[in-house]
Amino acid sequence: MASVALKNLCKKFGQTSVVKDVNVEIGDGEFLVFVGPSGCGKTTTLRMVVGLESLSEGEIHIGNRLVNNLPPGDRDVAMVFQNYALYSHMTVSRNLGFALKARGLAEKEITKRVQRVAKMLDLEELLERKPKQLSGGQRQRVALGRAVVRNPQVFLMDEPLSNLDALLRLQTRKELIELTTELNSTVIYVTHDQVEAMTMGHRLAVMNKGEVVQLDPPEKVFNEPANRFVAEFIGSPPMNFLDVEIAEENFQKILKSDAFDMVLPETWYSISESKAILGFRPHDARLVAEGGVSGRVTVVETLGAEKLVYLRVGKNSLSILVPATEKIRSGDQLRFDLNQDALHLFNREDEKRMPSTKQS
Amino acid sequence: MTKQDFRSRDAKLGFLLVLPAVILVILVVILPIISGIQISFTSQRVVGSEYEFIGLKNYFELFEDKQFIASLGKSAIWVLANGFFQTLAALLIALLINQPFRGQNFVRTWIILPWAVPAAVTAILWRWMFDASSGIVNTTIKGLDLVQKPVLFLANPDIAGMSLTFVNSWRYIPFLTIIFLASLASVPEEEYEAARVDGANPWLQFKSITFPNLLPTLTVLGLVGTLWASNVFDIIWMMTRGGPGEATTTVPVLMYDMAFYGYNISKATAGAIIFLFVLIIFAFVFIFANRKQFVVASETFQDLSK
Ligand SMILES: Nc1ncnc2c1ncn2[C@@H]1O[C@H](COP(=O)(O)OP(=O)(O)OP(=O)(O)O)[C@@H](O)[C@H]1O
Ligand SMILES: [Mg+2]
Repeated sequence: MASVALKNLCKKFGQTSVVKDVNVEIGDGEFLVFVGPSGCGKTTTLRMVVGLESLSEGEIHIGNRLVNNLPPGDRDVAMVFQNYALYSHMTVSRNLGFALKARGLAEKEITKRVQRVAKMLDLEELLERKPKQLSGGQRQRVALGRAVVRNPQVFLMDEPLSNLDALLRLQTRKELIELTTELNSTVIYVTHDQVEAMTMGHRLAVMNKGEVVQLDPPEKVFNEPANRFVAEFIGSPPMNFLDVEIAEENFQKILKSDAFDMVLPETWYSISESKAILGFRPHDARLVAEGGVSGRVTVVETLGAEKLVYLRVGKNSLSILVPATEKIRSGDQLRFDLNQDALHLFNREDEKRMPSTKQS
Repeated sequence: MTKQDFRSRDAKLGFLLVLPAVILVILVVILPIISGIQISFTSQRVVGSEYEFIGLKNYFELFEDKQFIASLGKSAIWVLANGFFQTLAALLIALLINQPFRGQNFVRTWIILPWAVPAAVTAILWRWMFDASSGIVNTTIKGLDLVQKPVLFLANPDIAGMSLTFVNSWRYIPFLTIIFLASLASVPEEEYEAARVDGANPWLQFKSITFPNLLPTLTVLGLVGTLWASNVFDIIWMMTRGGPGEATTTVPVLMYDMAFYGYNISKATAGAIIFLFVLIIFAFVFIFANRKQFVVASETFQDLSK
């Protein structure tokens, strides 16, 4: 296994910049996830690393080699494609062994390694089948096996679970984590599914419009999102945002929105702006009998153990999570308090996170 | 209305829709064959003349006719040479112009041109170009000092067959190329990408991805092309009349010659019927031997038409 360094990576298709100045170092044995909305350039980035797409600018290092001008076959990376890209005219066994054959390994050695991987991924029964005769989950395992059998420096995976149904996706996710941990693989993983990103990645590279906007471990991305985009994209149900003014009264900082005032915790006293965007996650609200913020219920969604309640507070529509046992109907008037340690403030101009002194 | 009613209505409609085609086939294919078989059992010499029923006499004569046996051999060689040369050339051209380059769309469109040229024009054009004294081919190769004496492309019995094969191929290669291009376009691009990541060189990619995908097309073309090539008459007749000597006398050429210059239309018809049966047997054997590929091919065409 090897480390990977992406330096000032840029990609233009004609006039449009699709990947803009991406700088990411992936450590040996690290599981790095590129996550972001559709069309933000994740696949393009991955295809540049594997060598299927040329670079407009920048450098890619794998191990200690600069690989910019190496063809894909010489980079010693394996890729799991989103639609698997299995060789439709070959049996599973030949699919698995193809890369080894291309490298001129002896037939005996190929068979041995194919057998081992087939056993590892529970494909032994399927070795003589063609891809057409496999289920989606089985195809996915073959695609994975085709990468594993090569024992490459780096695994690249482009939304490998997106074609599986919900249950199978959960199960395969777990297996993938176990497998890559066991092999101590360096993995670059692409997904637009934030749950997948949070559960799998050692670190996340959150992308938006071709740029990496935050590169941090999942907890940090969740707890201290770098800007409003990350805050909104990561976490489900999504974070609430509302415009607030910050006033100073009696040596305290007060948040003022159109419907309520709130004293800001001391950890925020270092900020100087007088306007901001307040963000809080639905599960950081708690129902109270008196005080707090008051709003009128518009919609109630039951999610199982919890209910997601949409409220109208002043001009804003906000959502909060409450235990499913609460009897709430639309039209009700509710009061809730916010967890003071879980507030987020973003700059109104550039939407970047405002620092609080609590932060590491 | 119940589902059943709909079905029988659909079936009736379907029958009505194919009826014109069925009638057409009966009129232009089945009836001529039946009347051909009738004529072959008679002694008729020219169209409209008197004749009597002579049973299988024409057939027995043909089986002892050295000229006829030789023409069967000539036809076999003709089909093999054309099939091999055309398929290989068309495949190479298709692979070549399937690579991205500037003007690709222009080439892809206009490559069909030779196919659109009428056979008569093609024949005259190439006779003129192959001319011994003033033809452009001879003046060119002589100018390049490749030969001392002009090459008798159509008058030398050892060369005439090859020259005709070349001209016939020139006509059919564009069509085959287009078919191959369509077939290549249906090979999933990501399989090539996966193969590149797996480190496969172009030859291995061709062998393990392109070729298996082309195989159904190749098989269908093998059948259709054989039948087409067997029946080529126009180019040969207009360029060499089967000559020099009998160097290029394939079965269709011999039958035409026998019917209209040898004044023996019933014997020529018998020869044509024998040839027809040879081709039918070939087609059955070929389809049976390659039935798997034919199933795949028909599925592919269904997919394409979706
Ligand atoms: N070959 C190309 N030519 C022009 N534009 C392209 C090309 N490939 C991708 N793009 C554009 O680049 C942008 C990023 O595409 P990319 O496939 O990397 O997105 P993605 O993040 O993988 O999205 P998704 O989650 O939908 O797969 C898109 O706007 C896309 O339209
Ligand atoms: Mg993508």
